[in-house]
Amino acid sequence: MNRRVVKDMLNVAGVAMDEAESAEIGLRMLGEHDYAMLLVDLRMPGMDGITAIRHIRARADTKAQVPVIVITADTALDLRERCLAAGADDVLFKPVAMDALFDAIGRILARDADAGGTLV
Amino acid sequence: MADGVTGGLHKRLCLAILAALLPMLTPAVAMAAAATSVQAMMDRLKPLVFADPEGAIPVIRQERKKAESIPDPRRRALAIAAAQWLEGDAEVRLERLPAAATLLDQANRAVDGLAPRSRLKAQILLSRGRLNASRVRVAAALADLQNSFALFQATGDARSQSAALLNISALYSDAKDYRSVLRYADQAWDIYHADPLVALSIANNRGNVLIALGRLAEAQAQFRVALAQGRLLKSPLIEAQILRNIARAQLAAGQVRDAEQTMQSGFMASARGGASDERPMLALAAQVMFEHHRLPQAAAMIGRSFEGLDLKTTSLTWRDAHDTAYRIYRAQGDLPRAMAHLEALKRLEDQSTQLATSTSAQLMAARFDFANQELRIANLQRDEARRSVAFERARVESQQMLFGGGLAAVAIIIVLLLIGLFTIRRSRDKVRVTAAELAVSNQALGSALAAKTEFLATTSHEIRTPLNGILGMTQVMLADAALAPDVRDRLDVVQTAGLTMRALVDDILDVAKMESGKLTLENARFDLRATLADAARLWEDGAAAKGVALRVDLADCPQGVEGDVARVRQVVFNLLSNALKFTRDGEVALVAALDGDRVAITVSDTGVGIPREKLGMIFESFRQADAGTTREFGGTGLGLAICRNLAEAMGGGITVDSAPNKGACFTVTLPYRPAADPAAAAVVPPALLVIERNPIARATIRTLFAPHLEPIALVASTAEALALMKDRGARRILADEATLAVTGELAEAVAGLIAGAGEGARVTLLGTGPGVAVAGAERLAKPIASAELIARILDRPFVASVPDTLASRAA
Repeated sequence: MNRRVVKDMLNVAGVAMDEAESAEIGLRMLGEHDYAMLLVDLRMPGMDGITAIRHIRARADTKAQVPVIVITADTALDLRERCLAAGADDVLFKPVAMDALFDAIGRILARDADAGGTLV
Repeated sequence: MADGVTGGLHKRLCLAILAALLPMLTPAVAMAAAATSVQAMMDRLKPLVFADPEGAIPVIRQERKKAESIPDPRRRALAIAAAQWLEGDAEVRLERLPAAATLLDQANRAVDGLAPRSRLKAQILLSRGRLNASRVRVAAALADLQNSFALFQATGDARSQSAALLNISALYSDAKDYRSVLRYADQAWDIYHADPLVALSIANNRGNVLIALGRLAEAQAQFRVALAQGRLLKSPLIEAQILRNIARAQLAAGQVRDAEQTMQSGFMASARGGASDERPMLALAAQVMFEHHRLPQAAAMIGRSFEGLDLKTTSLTWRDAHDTAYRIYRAQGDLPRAMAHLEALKRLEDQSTQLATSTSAQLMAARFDFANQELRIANLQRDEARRSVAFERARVESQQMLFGGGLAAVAIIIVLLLIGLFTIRRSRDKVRVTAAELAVSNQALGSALAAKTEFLATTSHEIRTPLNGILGMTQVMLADAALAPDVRDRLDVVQTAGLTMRALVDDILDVAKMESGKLTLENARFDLRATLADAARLWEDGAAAKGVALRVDLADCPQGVEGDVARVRQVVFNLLSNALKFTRDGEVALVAALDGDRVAITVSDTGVGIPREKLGMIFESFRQADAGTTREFGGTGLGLAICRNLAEAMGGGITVDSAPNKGACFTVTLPYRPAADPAAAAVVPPALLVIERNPIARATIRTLFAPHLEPIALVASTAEALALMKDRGARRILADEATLAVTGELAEAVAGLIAGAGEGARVTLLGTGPGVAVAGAERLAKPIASAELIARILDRPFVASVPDTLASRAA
């Protein structure tokens, strides 16, 4: 349900998104395609989001630097710090306002010199 | 009778003694080796703070000045934080709580960034725990003390662990939960009692609680341990204090002769120590005389022990003495004096019950056990009401009797007084039983607190996830420009409902943050007047719909200030929401003005008001003045608790003045921290106006230019751009070609923009591919490197380096 929401929101801004049902599938897709950005939930079946981010950042290739935004309904008080420490670029808390999502993506695009491709 | 009335009274005394001894208990702080000068300063100043907090403050401030010139930034910050802690601790001891709160919060924030696991952090938490206990914010106090205990444990400081546990036990003493008091005192003993002062405090504390529990032999044994330790300290005054406690235990047990001997030793010790105030000892001696049926001597002694005291304002330590005086005067037939002391007894009893009720309630709340909490508070309050009735009856009757005279009347009044006192005793026992029922073990409380946090986190997660679907999809649908107006109206309703729900979950999260001391504040320049006006504007429609006038007077409100704009807005928004909720007709007013070095923001209404006796309670979490109001007006009862916490976190406070049906007036005072008046954004032409339909591209461009140009305005269409420029024009326009082309001819749109922008404005178009020249505008082709885009807009020379194609990416 929440993947669909984000996908429809991104569609408003003309951005395409691929979906993965788990971190494992997402990591495999990242290996097979080029993505401009990853949006990661923290609670997923199997591997959790923070572990997934650590896997991505540990990659040997340039995909290790792909921007990652965490989207979560968790509100543990030190969660933002934990995500950032694991290598996330930004953290958004549900319910996510559409403007906040666009702002976060826009900020990362402005920061990174040459982001490209479609968004997951 | 004597035992019945006095039996429950002693435990207040143990608190008073605890308060006197605890300061000495807190050890000098050892800091990490890197900060030896900081440690030296704390070692030197800490005893001074114990001995003479008022005198210590100027010395601490001088040290702080010195600290500011330490070259190493980390050590400088640590030294300043240590000074803030010392000053805050002194303010706690002086009962100047708001000042203490500000200092300790500052120190805490600084240490969090530098040394979050240090002993300094633990000391700050210990001081803040005591501060919160003084403010009867029990959950917060408990969290601070437990965290401080854990840190002392981690740093291996057994003595301070013991001090933290004793403070926790004092908290339970407030709740009259004596079993927990004992449990924590026992733990404190097990962990550390090598220092006579620590051992003495723990034993003395245990003895006092054991008296309250009626375990008099054990109490005496504890006091003897304390006495042995006290003698090691060679302080006759402490010795005298403990001897007095032993005598109390003996008197309670009916061992009058033993008590007499103990008292004699006490008088001698007290004389050796040059005691300035023998009155407490005299009161006890009067009790001894009374037990010996030597009434005249007893009366003389009790008279001397109350010399110079106003019976209407005595503190809780005098409760036993009032009880003794009451019994002596009653036996003497001096009824006016007996009544005066009975009244004092009742007043102190009420105070103590109130404290116990409030503290129990908060301890229960900390354990997330609302149903039980309500029931038990109801029990405590019912007992109190019953006692008041009996007391009032006795008082009225006794007055009649005083005027009417007569033996029969004397007999009746004595019976009535007996009934009254019996009721007091019964309700006392009941309170004690109730309090005993509240007992919780250390582990149970710890795991209950964890369970509460877990519960909040889980509930919050489970609500946020579906809410994300509701609000998200609503926004997606509302983003569709082709939406039919009636469907849009309905979706607006869904969105408003969703936003209200989000505010509720956020409130709960805020409370959790505040209770665990994790609330953080931003600090930035903002326009206070505009912020308040915006907050009021949000309620205009709601007020109009109810037929309530909304008056806003910000003429004397400062504009440029520093602080946390979101939190200020939240407080005012909450107060306005409350005011409107409880007002059926009349007016709600928001007034803000500078008042010396503070800003006073007042929200007043003409609503249902709050009964006087409920005023103290409305700032507690999950409480409204009347459970019935929840049914009538809704709400979680969190808003005001949040307001108070936020106001205090910002260094200010909140007060309320109200009476039933007279409306309510809430005043928030915040420290005035002036900043340069912000440019009146409403009239200045934007330095850059961006016309771009893609929201991500807008955010990207704003982020790119924010460091270079201010203010920046962003719009999604030509029409919006024209509307915005109508009043103030624009100095520079950056427009996405495709966005302009949506609604008509490009050239026409550009001509309109140039006309709207005003003289000297420049228009830059951003388009894909070669495109065509448009009169009056320069054109840049996408993709363009961000550095080049910035250089072109700012008219700076541009040197191409690394390819940088992002600005066009999302478009």
